[in-house]
Amino acid sequence: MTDEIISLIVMLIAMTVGSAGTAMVFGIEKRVFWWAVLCAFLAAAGFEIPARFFAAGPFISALVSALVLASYADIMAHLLKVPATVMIIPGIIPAVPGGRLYFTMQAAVSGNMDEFYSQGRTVLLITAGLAVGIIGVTAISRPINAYLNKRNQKKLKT
Amino acid sequence: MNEENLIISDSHSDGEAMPTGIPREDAVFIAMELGEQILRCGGEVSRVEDTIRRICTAYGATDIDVTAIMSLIVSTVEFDGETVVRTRWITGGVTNLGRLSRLNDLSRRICRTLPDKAEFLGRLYDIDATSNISSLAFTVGNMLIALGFCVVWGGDWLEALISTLIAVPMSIGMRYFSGTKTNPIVAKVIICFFAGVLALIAGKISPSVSVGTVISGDIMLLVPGVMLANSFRDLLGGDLMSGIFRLCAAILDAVAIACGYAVAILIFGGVV
Repeated sequence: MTDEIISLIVMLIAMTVGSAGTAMVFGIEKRVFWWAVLCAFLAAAGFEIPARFFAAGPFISALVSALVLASYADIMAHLLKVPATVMIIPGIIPAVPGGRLYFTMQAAVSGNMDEFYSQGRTVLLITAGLAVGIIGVTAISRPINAYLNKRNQKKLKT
Repeated sequence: MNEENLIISDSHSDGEAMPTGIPREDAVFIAMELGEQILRCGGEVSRVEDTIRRICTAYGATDIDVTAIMSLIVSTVEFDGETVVRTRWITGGVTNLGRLSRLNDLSRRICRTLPDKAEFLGRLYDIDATSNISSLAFTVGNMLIALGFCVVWGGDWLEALISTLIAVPMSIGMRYFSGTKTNPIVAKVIICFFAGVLALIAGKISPSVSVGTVISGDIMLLVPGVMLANSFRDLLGGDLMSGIFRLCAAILDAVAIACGYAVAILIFGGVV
């Protein structure tokens, strides 16, 4: 159990470092940098914890990660007055199956079709989980944001 | 690079000013220009459409139809019987989240203050001047990506270090090719080929180093993971055209990366 926790911590730190690098490469503003890094850490935890401790499959892990990520991104976007994408892009990096997509294509290029199907299936499940999670949160947050905007406009008028 | 077509229907004179004092073409120009800039620096298609709609409404448009995909924006804006139609063909663009935030702020400000074209272009120039990503930040960022994801894919400290060092020439290559007219797919194949060769050399020097693990950290600099997730997001959200475009682009990018490394391993795998 202790080994698993240490392995989880190493994994979360490594994913967060990678996401911090992504935030730098994409020129994120200094005022939101650490919030975006925290977003990536939470999304990584949302992905790794269900997979390691609850035997969740790739779809469920990605779904939980996306729900955490999109909820946090929406709240912080509202508070920091930035587009939610600014949080979502660095935050989604730990869960996004970019590496697996490469391994899928590598298997295709080298003619290893069993590996191609196996990796490709995981890529599709993770991608679908991420997309469903983000769309789910957006579907809930959009009317809430619209209501808050209307209320703010009314306040400004009075 | 963009192309614009302007069609003014009915008998109103060109450039007629609205009650805000801004000519109608200028109002649509401001909305389209901002939409294009948002799309170029990584904004979602829905944000582009929403921005154009809001700005045109603020300038007094009575009816707005706007459609955007990754490489095209089309808008039809009506001002009391006069219709302005514009299209923009968009190629290239680099994700820049700092610039995206500033453009988003500018969009809000435009809706509040309704600036004229000259003032808008001045503000856009200011954003351009302050939103460049320095080569140092770009390189250090890529080194962090390689370091972090090499560990994620099971690399030890030596493999992570080698992966991090290979990220430096890769960053230089990415910066170089982004400033040229080289086909992005070809550029990715070339960068991955040289990164693969460097990883093979490292594997030859130190046999304990797994070339595959080193490469797995470095591919994260180029893999289109975000594009893949966004493509599914667009598809499931009903934005089919944008989703299909992104999916095709993501798969082509992944194939290019795999080919670049595969060619390096095929040519030098047993030689280096």
